[in-house]
Amino acid sequence: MKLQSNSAVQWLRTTRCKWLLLVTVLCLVLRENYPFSHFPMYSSFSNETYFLYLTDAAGQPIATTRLGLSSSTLKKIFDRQRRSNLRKYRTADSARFRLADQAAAQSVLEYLDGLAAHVPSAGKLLQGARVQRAMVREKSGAVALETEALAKHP
Amino acid sequence: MIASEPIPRFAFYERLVMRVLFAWIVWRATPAALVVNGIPAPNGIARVMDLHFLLEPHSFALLQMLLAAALIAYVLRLFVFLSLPIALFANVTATAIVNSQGAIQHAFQIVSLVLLAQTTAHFYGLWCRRSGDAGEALEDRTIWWSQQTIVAVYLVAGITKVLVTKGLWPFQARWIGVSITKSAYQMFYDTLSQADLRQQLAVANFAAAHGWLIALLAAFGLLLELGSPLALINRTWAASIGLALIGFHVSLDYAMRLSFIYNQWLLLIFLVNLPYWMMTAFRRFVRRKRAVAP
Repeated sequence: MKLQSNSAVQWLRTTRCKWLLLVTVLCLVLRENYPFSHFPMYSSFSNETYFLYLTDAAGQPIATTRLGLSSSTLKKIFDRQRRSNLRKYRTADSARFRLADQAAAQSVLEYLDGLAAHVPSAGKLLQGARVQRAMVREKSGAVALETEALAKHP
Repeated sequence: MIASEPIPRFAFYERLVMRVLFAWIVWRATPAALVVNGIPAPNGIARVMDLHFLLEPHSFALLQMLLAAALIAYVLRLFVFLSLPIALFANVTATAIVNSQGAIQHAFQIVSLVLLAQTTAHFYGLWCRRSGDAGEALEDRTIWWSQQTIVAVYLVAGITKVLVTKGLWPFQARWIGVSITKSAYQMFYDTLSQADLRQQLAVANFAAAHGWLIALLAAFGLLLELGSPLALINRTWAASIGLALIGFHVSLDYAMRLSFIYNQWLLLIFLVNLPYWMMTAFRRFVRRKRAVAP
């Protein structure tokens, strides 16, 4: 056993891949701390997920890039707000998920309002806009979608 | 005293091509403008340093000018002790702000990490030089550490998949059709262009209907990530693993429009290293021609 640990130490002292080991450990320990990351994207899959999109007052979809961001970023902002709202509504029994979803969608709209300073056309687009969530589910080898409105811009 | 294994050596033309291309990648991967709403969820360096001053257009323009000057100096190997840290600071701070919006992207880390590796390798090399290291070793080490960093990114992604799913990632991947559908619609709602939607939904439905084939392909992808350190054995392994990983990205790009373009470029520049293989083929051709000549 001692011989094995000695040879491991010997290997560590002589290997020319010390930087590989250091970066690997730092990325796994520091996780999401830019520029480090444990690269969790697509590290797990489920048979259901969702995406968000925006519709205008007439119910027509809005291209999210017209607001200065992508749909993927929109979802990530929503996810983060949803997680923090779920912690806030811990005592509100089964309704907490709906409350957290609605509060997170409202926060997304507030964030988009802030972006309007950089994207002049955004303010007009957002009037009466709705945040829609489409659930994607796989059942018996087929993919199905189900959409619901979560929040409306005043 | 135990001597470390020697680091690989690179020819002048390899180092030059790598410097030019990497400088171009750093320039492209650093945001040209900050379309953000403050720093609502500080991430990484934004947690330890107040970066609000970069939200001022004048400060950001100055940062970009500094980055441009630093990258030109880096390509020319002038004031590297200054150009690398400046480029690192400009790249990491700007991208950290983009990643501090409550939505973490994973497109830029590899570029910043390679830049970090080169900066650290340079200063470590300066320190080693005092104990008699050869002058050329300075730049060879920055390339060698860049290669290790690229490999580390794939190794970490593989380890995370194993840890998160307790080793069941290939089996979970049979549900990838759901994720492909999600990314297809996300792409569609980005621009409302239907150009790729039908093709991607067809891929998603194929994946949903052929779950076990997808699990098999996913197992191959995971093995490739976990086996990426093999790229550090020698140039042939580096080129083979580099090309396999580029192939992996290209197929993911076809299925999910996830190109990870900077990963592909860095694999091409530092692992595949085309100039070396072109020069080797050219030299062999010349040698053979001379041997045949009367």
